[in-house]
Order: sequence, then structure tokens, then C-alpha cells
Amino acid sequence: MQATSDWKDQLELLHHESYMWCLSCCNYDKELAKDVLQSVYLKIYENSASFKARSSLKTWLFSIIKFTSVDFIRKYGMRMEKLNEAHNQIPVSESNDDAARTNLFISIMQSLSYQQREVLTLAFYHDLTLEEIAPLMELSIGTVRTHYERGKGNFKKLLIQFKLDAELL
Amino acid sequence: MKTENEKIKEIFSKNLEPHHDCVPDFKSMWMEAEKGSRKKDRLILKIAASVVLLIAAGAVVILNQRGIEYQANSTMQIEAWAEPTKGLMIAQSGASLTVLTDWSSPTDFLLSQNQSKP
Repeated sequence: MQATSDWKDQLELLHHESYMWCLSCCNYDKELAKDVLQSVYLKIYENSASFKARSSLKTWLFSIIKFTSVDFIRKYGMRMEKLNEAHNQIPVSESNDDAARTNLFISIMQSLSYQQREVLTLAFYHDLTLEEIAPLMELSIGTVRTHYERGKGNFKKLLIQFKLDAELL
Repeated sequence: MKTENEKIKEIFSKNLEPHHDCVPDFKSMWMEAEKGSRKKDRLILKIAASVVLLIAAGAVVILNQRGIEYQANSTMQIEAWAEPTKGLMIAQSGASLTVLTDWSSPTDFLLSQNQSKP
């Protein structure tokens, strides 16, 4: 029996966060995110992805999710440029209902570059430090810092431009 | 007083909250992974079994063909027989074949077969 079944409980604790990270990696496509996460669990179950305790379990799991989603996106012919094509399609909504706000937020996130979106999500939603993000994204700390600063600047500009929670800033 | 980063964190959690409802159930996903793994194992076993079966069938066909060849050769006329000990028959030209029946060659049974042929 696989040793990974010992981690089942820990994976279950991280499941919610894993899905949210997966959703971000899959450009907020819910069905794709589910397929990717299912594939990640299969990899872990079959020991084809094994945890060697070089990093935290969360960082390791997030890294597998990231690279599996990249594989899926490549496999299904979705190019990164296509993922970012929402740049000029941000819906201008005056509505305050939650769905419209979420859609606007997602559109703002999609208008950022892929790396900026990932760094901001990991830093602001998953509470990872830049030092933890760098190995996860297989980037140097300097590059991560650049994506973080630029992404944060662009994100703030877009929030103000589209009047989404701008009063909070 | 909240810092800018804390405010951005709040914006993230506030706007991603509606997605919390669509988080799939972990247990069913894990069970699906177990099932998927078993399916894969079965597929590998099926492929391995098919390969073994093909090899066995091939071996049977080859051995069968060799058997047919052997049978065809075993009914060969002694005149066409290229056995090296055939020369012994010529050497004993004056002798009757009964002498040869005492001969202890493992192929001496062919002689009687040859005699029975016209």
C-alpha cells in the first residue's frame, strides 16, 4: 500500500487551499481546476509525485498543482496568451452583487501577467512568503520580487480604475 | 490601522469567497484517485497478459512448424538420406542386409522402412 495514504489527512486539511490555488492556476476555470486537482491526487496516490520533505507539504503540493495545470493547459491547447486575453475585456459593472464583484475581480486578475497573478495569489491569498514562492515557481527570489512589485502596482491601479474595493486601499 | 498588504489580503479573501462553495469534496476525489490507480494497474496487467499470450502463441506456431518439418524428413527415402553413416551400406556391398540389422545405429530402423518400399 502506498505510503502516501499516511498523508491523506494532511492533504485533506490542505484541500480547500489546494483547490483555490488550482483555480488560480487554471485561469479560474472550475471544471479544469477539478480535473487538474484530481490528476494531482492520482499522482500522489501512485507515488509518481513523492514528498521528500525538502520543503513544506503545502509548498510541495502547490508546486505539483502548478506544473500539472501547466501540463493540462498545454495538452488542451490553451495558450498562455489566450489566458491573458481578458486584458481588454474587463466588464464595467456598477452592480454590487457578489457574483458581479467576483467576476470583476477575476477579470482584473486575468488581466495581470500569469506570473504576477500567481505571485499575488500566493502572497495575498495563501499567505506564503516570497522566499517560499521562489522555489515553488522555480524562479529566483529577485524575479519573484519583481513580479510581486509590478503585479501589486498593476493590481492597485486596476482596482481604482474599475472601482472595485478601491475605498479599502 | 491596517497596512496596505493587509488591505489587499482582505480584498482577495472577500472576492474569492464565492468560490468556496464550489470546492469539490476531498473524500470523493481521493476515492476517484484510488479507483483510477486500480484501473491503470488492471490495464497494465491486461497489456502484459496480452504480450505473454502473443509470445506463447508464436512459440507454439514455430514449434509446430518444426515438428512438421521433422515429420517430412523422417519419411525421407534412404537414397536421398544424407546421413554420414550411409557410406557404411556401400562398404558392405557383398553383405546381406541382415548384417546391417545387427548394426546398432539409432537410425537403423530406417533400413526396414526402406526395404518395405518398392
